Amino acid sequence: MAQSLKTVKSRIRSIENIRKITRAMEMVSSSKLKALQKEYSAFAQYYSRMEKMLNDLLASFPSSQNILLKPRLNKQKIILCVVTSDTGLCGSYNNNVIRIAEEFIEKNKDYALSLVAIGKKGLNHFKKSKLVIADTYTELYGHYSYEVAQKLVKFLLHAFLSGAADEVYAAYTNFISASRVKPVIGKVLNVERGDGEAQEYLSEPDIDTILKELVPAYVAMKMKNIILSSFTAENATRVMAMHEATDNAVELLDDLVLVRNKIRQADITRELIEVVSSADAMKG
Amino acid sequence: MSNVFHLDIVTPASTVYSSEVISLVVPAELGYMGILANHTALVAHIVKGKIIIRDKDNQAKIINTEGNGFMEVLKNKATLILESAMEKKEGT
Repeated sequence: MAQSLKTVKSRIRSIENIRKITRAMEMVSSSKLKALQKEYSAFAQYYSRMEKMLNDLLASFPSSQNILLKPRLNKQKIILCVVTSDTGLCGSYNNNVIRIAEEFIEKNKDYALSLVAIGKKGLNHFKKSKLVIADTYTELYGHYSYEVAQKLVKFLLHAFLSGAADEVYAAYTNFISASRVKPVIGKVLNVERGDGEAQEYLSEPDIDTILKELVPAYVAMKMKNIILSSFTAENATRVMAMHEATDNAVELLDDLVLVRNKIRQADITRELIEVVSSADAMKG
Repeated sequence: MSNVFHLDIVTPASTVYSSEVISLVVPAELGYMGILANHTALVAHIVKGKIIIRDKDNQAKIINTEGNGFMEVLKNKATLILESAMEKKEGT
């Protein structure tokens, strides 16, 4: 056994500390996850109803016009929002988002692409690339804030309407359940006409006026959905990562305790042999 | 034909109301409008104001709304999507 008792003991101590930290982080994230999950599920109800209403309306009034609905024929400029976390220690969460964002960038390299970074990790990653970073939103620390989201939506709508962007996409993580999250790319602008049931609606006031209010509201809620879903997924991934880290620490600790005991036993045996052999020598 | 219809009021934070009602009055963009059962399909833009509900026990209930909102009436079901909604307590 090459390791000395002292080094093994200090390793045990440090791993014990790590285990305590990861366990605490797991608990913190899991309580955050619970709160966010509640918020997200209430919001998802609202959002899905709004989406359905919009799609039904668009199907019912196929001739309706709205500037946010109109696809740009001469597509040149694209904005991609990358939603990542501000802090690390959440497993592959950020890497997955960045990976699909880079795939998207590679696929659309013929267009002028600029990025909007939400979260420090994405910002730090793409800072090194040659891409233009149009806007950044950091230090949210997994809390959805209405003001920040409002600013972001305003920025995106302005970019789209002023022609600074012909299409807006977002790379984010879709929260499916506490044990399943999926990084995806979603289109934000222009708003696509989804599948809806056509109905004979009366509208008050006329449909174009309603759409003028409904479509921007929908875009704002879509961004909120993207951000909330990502933050919920971030905490879910962190719970998983920290749980795994705690398990690994416990496993390592078990192994090290075994090593420590073996070394100690070896030391005792060696000392005994010394005592016995020196006693033999004295007799001799 | 029954004289009640289903009403759902949802906000981003929660589902505020979900029950059968007799009548509903909402602040639409061009003025207050009343909805009864078996109304034809309708969409409306809701503005700030009071939503007055008469539930199936004939009890009135007032909910204040602020900001943007939308209403859809379809197949004897009304859905109100509001930015914010606060139930008005009695005496206030």
